[in-house]
Amino acid sequence: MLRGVIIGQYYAAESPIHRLDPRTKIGSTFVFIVVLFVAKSFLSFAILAGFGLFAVYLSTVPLRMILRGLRPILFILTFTLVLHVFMTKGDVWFRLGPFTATWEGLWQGAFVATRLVILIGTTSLLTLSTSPISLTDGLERLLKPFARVGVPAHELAMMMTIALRFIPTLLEEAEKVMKAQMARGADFETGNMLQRARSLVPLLVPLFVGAFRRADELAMAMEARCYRGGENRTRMRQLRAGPADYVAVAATSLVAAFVVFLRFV
Amino acid sequence: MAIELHNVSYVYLPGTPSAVTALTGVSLRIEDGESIGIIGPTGSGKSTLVQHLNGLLKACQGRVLVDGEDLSQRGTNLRNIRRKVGVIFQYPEHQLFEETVAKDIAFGPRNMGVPEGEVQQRVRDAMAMVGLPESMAERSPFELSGGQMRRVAIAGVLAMEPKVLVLDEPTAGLDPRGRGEILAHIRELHDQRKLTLIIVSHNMEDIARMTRRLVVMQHGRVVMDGPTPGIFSQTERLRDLGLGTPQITAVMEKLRERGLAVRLDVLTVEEARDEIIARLNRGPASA
Repeated sequence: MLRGVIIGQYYAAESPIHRLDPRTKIGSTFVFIVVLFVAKSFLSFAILAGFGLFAVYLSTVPLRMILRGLRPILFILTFTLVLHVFMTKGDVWFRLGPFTATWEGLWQGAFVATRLVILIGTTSLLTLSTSPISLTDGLERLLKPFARVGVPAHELAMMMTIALRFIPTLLEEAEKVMKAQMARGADFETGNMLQRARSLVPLLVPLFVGAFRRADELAMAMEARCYRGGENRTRMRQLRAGPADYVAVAATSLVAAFVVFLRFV
Repeated sequence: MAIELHNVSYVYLPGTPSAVTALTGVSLRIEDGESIGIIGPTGSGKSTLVQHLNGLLKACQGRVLVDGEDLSQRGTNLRNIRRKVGVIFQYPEHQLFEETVAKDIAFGPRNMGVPEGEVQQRVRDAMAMVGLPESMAERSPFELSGGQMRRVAIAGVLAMEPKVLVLDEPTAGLDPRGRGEILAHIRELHDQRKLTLIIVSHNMEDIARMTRRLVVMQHGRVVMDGPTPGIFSQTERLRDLGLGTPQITAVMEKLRERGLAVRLDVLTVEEARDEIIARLNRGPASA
């Protein structure tokens, strides 16, 4: 029931993409997103999508998993498309009651929808091919220069690690509490919006109480092992960029430069 | 009201690479008023089995009948079944959510559509059944002690007035006193209100004290089923399964090894005392 959440789901495999330094992957993904919003033509999209697909192919992550990650945004996609089709002024395509669909709207809608699909499809590769631990390692390292201006890089990374680590635990707990309440005749599936929202109280209160209890215990356990933040901490795994990383950075830069070039010429 | 399981099998996440078979061909018949213990190593399918008894899980194969009603049939009113079969999960205090003890206990009966006047009566009854003083009714459940919270959660199920009470590790994490008190109250419900008891536990003392029939599970199958003393006297077989016996059975076993031919199927210290005295009077020669 609560499965199928792809964010933070790591697909364990041995591939060139998996082996890349997390900093490379985070940086490339960031550049990719920026360029995706700079792009203004379907040709650019085709190039970016091709680049993304090639990365997926290299990563050996099954395309099926990427597509599954797109399922949650299906509603947003449809919504955006419909909104654009009916809200854009231009040549009339067809009329539906007081609404007018336009060709320009269709084009515009398809454009935005394509951008969303490429965005989610490619960025999910980051979390699919990078384990949460190395992801936060990479983030911490990338944020480190900002520590001087007061960004708590290590603390942020630790928070993310903990949050990711506890997602499955909380899901499991939610299922348990749900069953316990169903055994007491609770009903989570029928009723109107308001009734359903209210029926969540017996689920959410124990879940929050449990989360706080766990947080308390975890904090205690960390203190007991003398954890005191990022200063002077050494790491077990040092991040090291290799030849593959330079190739990846170069490839991303080339594609990005080309798309930017297309946009301004 | 009997519960029947006919050849029940259950698979978690069927059709995926991570599919796990939790139950294989389990058949059981639980009669009205019985007290049954279910034991087995971790992962033997005890909790999965328990969730079939009130329709929280639906058998992939086979049938579960509660009071003659087939749980896998679409028309079966599961809420009705859950009223009759009250399941109390491990650490039930983690399910508390209301502002006051009374409101939390009233959650079940309200869901069952019990009229408001009767709900109040049931809340009072349920609190009495688990030995919670009435003065606690308006307190927040979150400021109670662990043992008291557990009683509130048990009262929440009792307030639905079930005919069958299923308890999954009812005393886990309680101190000896809290453990004794909770078991005494459950025992009373069984003796006086004729509730059918089904207790899942790793604690053999609890099982010995509370149940007359014992079901042993391994790898999702029922491997032993019979009167509790008889099962516990098969100490070697239980040990092979990675299970223990009540301490008193272990004592009797040691006595036997030393040459005193006592019976192994005793469950309480008193029984053991009588048995040892009887044997000693007859003299060690009869070993």
